[in-house]
Amino acid sequence: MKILVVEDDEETRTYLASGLATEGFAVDCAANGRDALFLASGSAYDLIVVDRLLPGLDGLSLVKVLRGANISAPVLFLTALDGIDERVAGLDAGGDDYLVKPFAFSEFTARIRALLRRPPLTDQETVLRVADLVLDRTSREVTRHGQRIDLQPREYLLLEYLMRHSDEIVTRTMLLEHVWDFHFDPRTSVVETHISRLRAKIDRPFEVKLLKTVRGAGYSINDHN
Amino acid sequence: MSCTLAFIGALLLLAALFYFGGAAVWRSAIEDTVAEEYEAVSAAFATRGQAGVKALVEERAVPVIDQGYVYLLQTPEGQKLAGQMPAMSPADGWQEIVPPRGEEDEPFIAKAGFLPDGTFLLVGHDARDLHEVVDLIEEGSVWILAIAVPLWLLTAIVSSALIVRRLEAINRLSLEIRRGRLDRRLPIGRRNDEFDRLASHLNAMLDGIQDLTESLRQVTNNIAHELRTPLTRIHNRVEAARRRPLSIDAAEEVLDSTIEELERLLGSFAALLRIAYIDAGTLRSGFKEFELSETAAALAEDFEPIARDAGKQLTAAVAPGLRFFGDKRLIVQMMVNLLENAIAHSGGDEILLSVESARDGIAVRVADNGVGIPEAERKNVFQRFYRLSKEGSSAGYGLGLSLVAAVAKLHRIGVALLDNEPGLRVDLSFPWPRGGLQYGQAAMGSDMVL
Repeated sequence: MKILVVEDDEETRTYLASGLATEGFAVDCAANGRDALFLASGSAYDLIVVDRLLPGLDGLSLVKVLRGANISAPVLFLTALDGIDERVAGLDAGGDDYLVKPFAFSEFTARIRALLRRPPLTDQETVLRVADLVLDRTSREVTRHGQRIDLQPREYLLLEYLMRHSDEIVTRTMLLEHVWDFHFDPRTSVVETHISRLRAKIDRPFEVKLLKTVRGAGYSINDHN
Repeated sequence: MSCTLAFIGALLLLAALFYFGGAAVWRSAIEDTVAEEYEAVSAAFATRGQAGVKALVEERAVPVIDQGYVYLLQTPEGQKLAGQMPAMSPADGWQEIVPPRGEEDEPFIAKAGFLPDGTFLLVGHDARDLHEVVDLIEEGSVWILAIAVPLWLLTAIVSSALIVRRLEAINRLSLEIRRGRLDRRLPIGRRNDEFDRLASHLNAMLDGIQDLTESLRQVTNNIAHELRTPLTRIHNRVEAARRRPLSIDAAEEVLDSTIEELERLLGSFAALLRIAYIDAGTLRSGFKEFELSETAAALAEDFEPIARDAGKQLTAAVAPGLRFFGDKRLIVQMMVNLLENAIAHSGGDEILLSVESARDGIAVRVADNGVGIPEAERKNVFQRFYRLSKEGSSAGYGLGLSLVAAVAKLHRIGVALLDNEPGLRVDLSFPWPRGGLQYGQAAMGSDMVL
């Protein structure tokens, strides 16, 4: 897996690159849009991390040019600009996800893994399965081991999101953004409370626990031990 | 100065207009009279020939010729037949003539022509009225210039001196304000003229600037205090760690707590930036219509278990179908902040969220039965980093209500902090979308005030 990091601040660039290298990725770096364009047109990257504000050719324009040149690697925008229209502009330009600085490194890698593994057709699958847990997206029915489980609307959305990203680490921020549409950090334990309620329904009565807490990172639903 | 020149120029132009315009009008009136008389006299030729015309001229030509009509009828050979004028070399058309014993500078206006047999006929009329008018205009113009110009100059000097004095006052004040005396205000007269209105607008602007500077000073102060405590803690902790050899466990503990502290600080900055961003008002372009009832009901569902885990009870009463025009995510954050305050900080154990239609919008209420906010403090709690209890920073960033205020201001939502006896009641009045009352009507049914 080869990742291109486009970031003008040297310290941040080194921090991201060495972190990604430790995680086992091959990493190339560029300090500005021009170099990034040159690198990206020369070799195929599995993912490109782009800082939103770059000297010269800025991040948005860079991604537009890349998309125009048929380079379709997923793009993760990094930005210090936190505003809803900033996010929209980033996604409109062809970005796939948007991460606001400052962020925890675990959040960063979770997003990268989610983008890399994003199966192209997940959104159209009607039945999601993890071991004996089944979620039917047409009837909105959830069963485990054949037993029907009643979920509140939010619990259903939470489970659906986790199952769409089964085997991946899903961070608290990702859940807030995608399940609650909260683009801020609530002070109360919204995520934790709902996770524990969901657990009580899908895991507690069963021997094998599927919904796992990944310390310091987030949650993951899978049937590995 | 240029103003004065323009004024005199305009005056001269006006005089010229009177002079030439007036003279032309009078001249054409005299010409009409003369032409009429000429037609009347020459018409006699058709019935009675030259002799008829001669008889008519003799009858009409009175000997006194300093005013009224003058005539001349002479044969084609140049021999005078009748009239007061002496024989003359015949010329066709309009002319100015001086009758015998007439004044050289007051010529008569005359029309001359040839009858069908070649007889020359001239009819004239005095132009005394015209000359009088011209004299009058000439004289009047001189007087106007002689009186009006000095008078105007005097007025101009006096009034510009007054204006300059008042402008000077504004200038002096601006200078003082630029030098930092933000508390100075312009005097406002009782006349309510343009200057008084300008002064009151400027004063209102100064009030606004002073308020902003004051709140900026306050915020800067608050931020500095807010930063000092955690930064000092981090500094001390890291310094202490640096002084002695650390076990792996101890090092991890120092680093973890430092990271935690830094994350809190960064979170606090993120919240601060977000408020500034909302305050800038640019988000209004992204407003959309959404169902507030649905949003509120979903939030109630989300926070009910959180309240329950904290040993409290959240009750929701949400009227269905109420729609609002705004930024849904910000409205959500505002309501989450209020709910979290009620759950985590109020000290009460019952929280109520209600959404209902009101006369001029949607009334949203978040109420608790906790300790409430003393009336004297209610104005301050919207300030950034303002905390009711001075001890500790565990109670969030101290920005929750600042964000509520910023979101409310952006959406023109009224916020009232009231006594819930006991506890705090936050009443939000969401205005109907402009030009969008029909949404409300559709949604409100019989409740609607028509």
